[in-house]
Amino acid sequence: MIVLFDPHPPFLRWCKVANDTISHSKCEFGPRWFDSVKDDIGNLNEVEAYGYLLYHGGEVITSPVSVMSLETLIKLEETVRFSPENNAITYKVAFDLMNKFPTIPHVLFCDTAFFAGLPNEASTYAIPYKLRRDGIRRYGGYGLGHEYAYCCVRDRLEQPPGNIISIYLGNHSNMTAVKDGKPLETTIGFTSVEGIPSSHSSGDIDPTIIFQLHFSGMSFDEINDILSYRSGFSGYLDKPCTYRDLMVDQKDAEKSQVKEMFQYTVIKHIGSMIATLNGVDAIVFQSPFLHESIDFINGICQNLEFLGLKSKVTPSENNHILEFTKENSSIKVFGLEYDMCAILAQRTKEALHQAGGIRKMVEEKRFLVDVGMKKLPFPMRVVSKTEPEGQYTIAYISVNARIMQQFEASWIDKFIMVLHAHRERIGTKTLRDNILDYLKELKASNVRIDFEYPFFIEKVTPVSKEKCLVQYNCYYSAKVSSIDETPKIIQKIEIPVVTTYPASAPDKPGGLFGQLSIVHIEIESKKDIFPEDLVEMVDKRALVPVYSFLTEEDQHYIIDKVHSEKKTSVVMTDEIKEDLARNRDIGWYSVQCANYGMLHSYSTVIGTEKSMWVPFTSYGEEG
Amino acid sequence: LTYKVFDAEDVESIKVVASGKAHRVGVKGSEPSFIEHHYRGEAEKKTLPINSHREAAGLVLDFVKEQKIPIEYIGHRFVHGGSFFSGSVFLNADTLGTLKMCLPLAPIHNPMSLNAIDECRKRMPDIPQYVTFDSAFHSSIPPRAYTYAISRRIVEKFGFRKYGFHGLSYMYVTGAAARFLEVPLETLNMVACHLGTGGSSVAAVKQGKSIDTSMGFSPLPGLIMSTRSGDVDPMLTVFLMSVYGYRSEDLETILNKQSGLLGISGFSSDIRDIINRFSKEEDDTSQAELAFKMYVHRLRKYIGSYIVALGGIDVLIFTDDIGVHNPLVREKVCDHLEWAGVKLNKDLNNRAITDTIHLISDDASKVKVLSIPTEEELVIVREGLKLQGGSME
Repeated sequence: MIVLFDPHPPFLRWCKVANDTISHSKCEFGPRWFDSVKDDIGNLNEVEAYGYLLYHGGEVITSPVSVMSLETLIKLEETVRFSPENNAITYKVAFDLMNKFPTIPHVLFCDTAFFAGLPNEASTYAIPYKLRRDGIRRYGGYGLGHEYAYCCVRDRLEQPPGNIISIYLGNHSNMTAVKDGKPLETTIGFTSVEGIPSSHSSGDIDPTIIFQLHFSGMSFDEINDILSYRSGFSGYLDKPCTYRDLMVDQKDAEKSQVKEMFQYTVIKHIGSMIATLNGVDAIVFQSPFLHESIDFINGICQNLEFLGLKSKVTPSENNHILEFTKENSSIKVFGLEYDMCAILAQRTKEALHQAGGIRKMVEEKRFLVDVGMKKLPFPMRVVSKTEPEGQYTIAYISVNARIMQQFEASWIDKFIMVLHAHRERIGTKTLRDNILDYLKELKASNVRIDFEYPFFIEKVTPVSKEKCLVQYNCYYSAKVSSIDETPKIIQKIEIPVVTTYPASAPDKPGGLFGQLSIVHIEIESKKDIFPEDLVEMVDKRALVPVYSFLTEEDQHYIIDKVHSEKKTSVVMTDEIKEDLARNRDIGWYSVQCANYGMLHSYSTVIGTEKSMWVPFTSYGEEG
Repeated sequence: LTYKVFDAEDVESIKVVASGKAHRVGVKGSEPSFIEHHYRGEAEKKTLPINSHREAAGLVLDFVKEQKIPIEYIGHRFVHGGSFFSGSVFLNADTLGTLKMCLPLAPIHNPMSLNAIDECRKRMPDIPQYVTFDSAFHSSIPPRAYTYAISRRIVEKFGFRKYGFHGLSYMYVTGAAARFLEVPLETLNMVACHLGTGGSSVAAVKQGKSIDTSMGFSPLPGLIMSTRSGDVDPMLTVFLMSVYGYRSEDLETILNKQSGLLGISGFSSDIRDIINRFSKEEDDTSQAELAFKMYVHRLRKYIGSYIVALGGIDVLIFTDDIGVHNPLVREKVCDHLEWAGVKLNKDLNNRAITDTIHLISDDASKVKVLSIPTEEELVIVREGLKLQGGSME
């Protein structure tokens, strides 16, 4: 039996292929996914091979089918950022099963790999070119299906066709222009939202619409939600509607209207593909609902009759392939039943055959282990604006590393050794170099180190101008993977300030009063950002900064200010966000403000949105 | 701001009496603003501060008054009439009120037009005035082409739909093509490419009526333009804002002002510079070459999709600066349209670089390919004649 996994948030789907019978199952993807799979399959050790479908390989995974090694697994983790929801599931499932069953072959299928060689003019967006170097490009999708369709048509025709358009019709319809087996253009771009509308995502729209939605106060997550999940057929009809509903339901006038729009869009894209190829020899439709789509496909064929296409009234079937056109038609049109599992099962067998049968990964039961230590106190010097040599402090250090099992015994000594060597001027710049030493010395595939330390800043009180030292909690979080050796470093700081309590108002009896707010800033930067600068920036935006010592006149001054001026945490957080956005050295940031009002025992939090992107896809937190 | 004064007895005999252009209106720069007039074979140029389009319109009226040129009608161009206007209208209290509702649709162009209209009404209250809309030509686009597949609640709340632009230009070139070929417009299917140095678009025109076009709710989507990106993955902007921390306003500027040919080539928004660079084979020409290839590729794709949407075409038109003056673009685009019956005559194409109408397809070509300089003002006069139902002496 071969078991193939297909991530489908919030579900994990899998199919079992044994002796040409295919059965499908699914479960919610949560902590108990493994038990569900085990209950369904039975003896997991007797599975012939495990396969995993990866929707988005980014620029990291560029071969459609690979028998997985440790290196593949590490690469797989790197792809998570391209499609966080889907790819994280693929990664997690592959990681756990490879680790549990290292002697069974594991195969990875990548749906974007077919498009790795897409010509530059098709894969590039007309935006500043530096973004393309950052991986902002068109990746395509459904590559395994299109490749399969191409092969079917090639085998069917006596002479290999030069120009083929392969069209997938389903909840995520898309198409690809293929010349001599190589893709020249596709409708899916950076994400699968681009191109033809799906059952729930928008397809191509005017980008100005996004700016207008954002301007009207919607957050990125809301816009993402609208375009990805609440648009397309269902969004336009304002009720759930799948591709099959659209094909089958003939009576509903609104659905017919959507179907017409959808068909028109497909026809236009076919025109673009023909122009890209400069003519077309065959068009192949592939759909899980092929027989329901026959009228729809016939309608498309009629629109192409001006090019010499001659369609049949009813398609003929031969060896599971429908043929929609007559013998003398200048363009051949075929239909294939789409069954991903059958395609993947076939390719798994091929891949294993090529790899020379079942290959043992490693002899040990587990080949990778996650190790770590928590809150080790250690004297260090950290970057400071006022002290060029660095400020002395005690940092609490936590480390997580993924290492080969054979190094499990000796890693702590190595870690302490490297730690001793790098005690000076801990900051973004030094960490960027240092963390690579940890990676090398520990022979790890991934390392993450967290530093947590108090930092003292000398401040001057507002009226009496007395000096006082204020303590700020600072953090550094550094992560690197052996694949790209590009460290990711996040700096955090907590800055307490005073803001106006939201329920207070100048015209109320008792007037304005204040509250303690703690501003949490997280940033990713190219250069060292000094804690002094961050504190100064936040203090400027606060109603009043916080001091460790105040004389009586200072106290009066501050109390007067709190009672006469208004600055809510919402306004302050927004201003801080603007300041951070303006700083070109800062690549990513997040600001949250926790407010400790006097009327409740809990803190309220406001903040700029956390982006869809999670800086660390944590691997050590479970179990 | 440009203007032309016409002597139009009927549609057949329209003559330009005077014309002119106000340059750098409202631009604060090192170079001064000026206005030029052409009248009776003489050119006049005045350098003076022109702070707004209202002032510029005033200067035009001053000139017309000084020269004692009789004016009977004033026609205005209005870029975006939304779904309020599907044709030209005379101005009255009613239509003026509706015009004001159109202001947010084209926040740069529409207020300028309205100010000029206001100035003309103040100065010449007795002269009948009318407005011609760029968007009106595209009002025949059917719902299947103008609808965005976004959540219906959002669409209804914000009024998102495809409007299209360059309507006056398409109106002119499709009419001119039919007259040139001596075939009634109502019997022809055409694809017209308006390739300007600023904005560019393509339109599918069925029997004289637009059925689809590449620009949308705003002039940003569609073709790759000098500095505009054209189509991008909708999620790309969301991704750049949330992951790279771009601000919405900055990104809007990037897609409108720093993308397109400029963004890819990295050095110029002018396609002539780009062609020059990669034909010279200097050190690093890869980005210039890519910019050109992408420009052509995107244009081809749109033309191809409209050819299929129309079920084949009779005429392919290139117009505006790049369309009329750049034979290489036309050649490369037509290269991949053989399947649709397009066959370019290379000699004719290379010679067609002047400001007159040229047939550039081969005799054997099923599709007639034309290069036509656009004349948007002429459309405004013709629209006026239509409105008035006869002559405008």
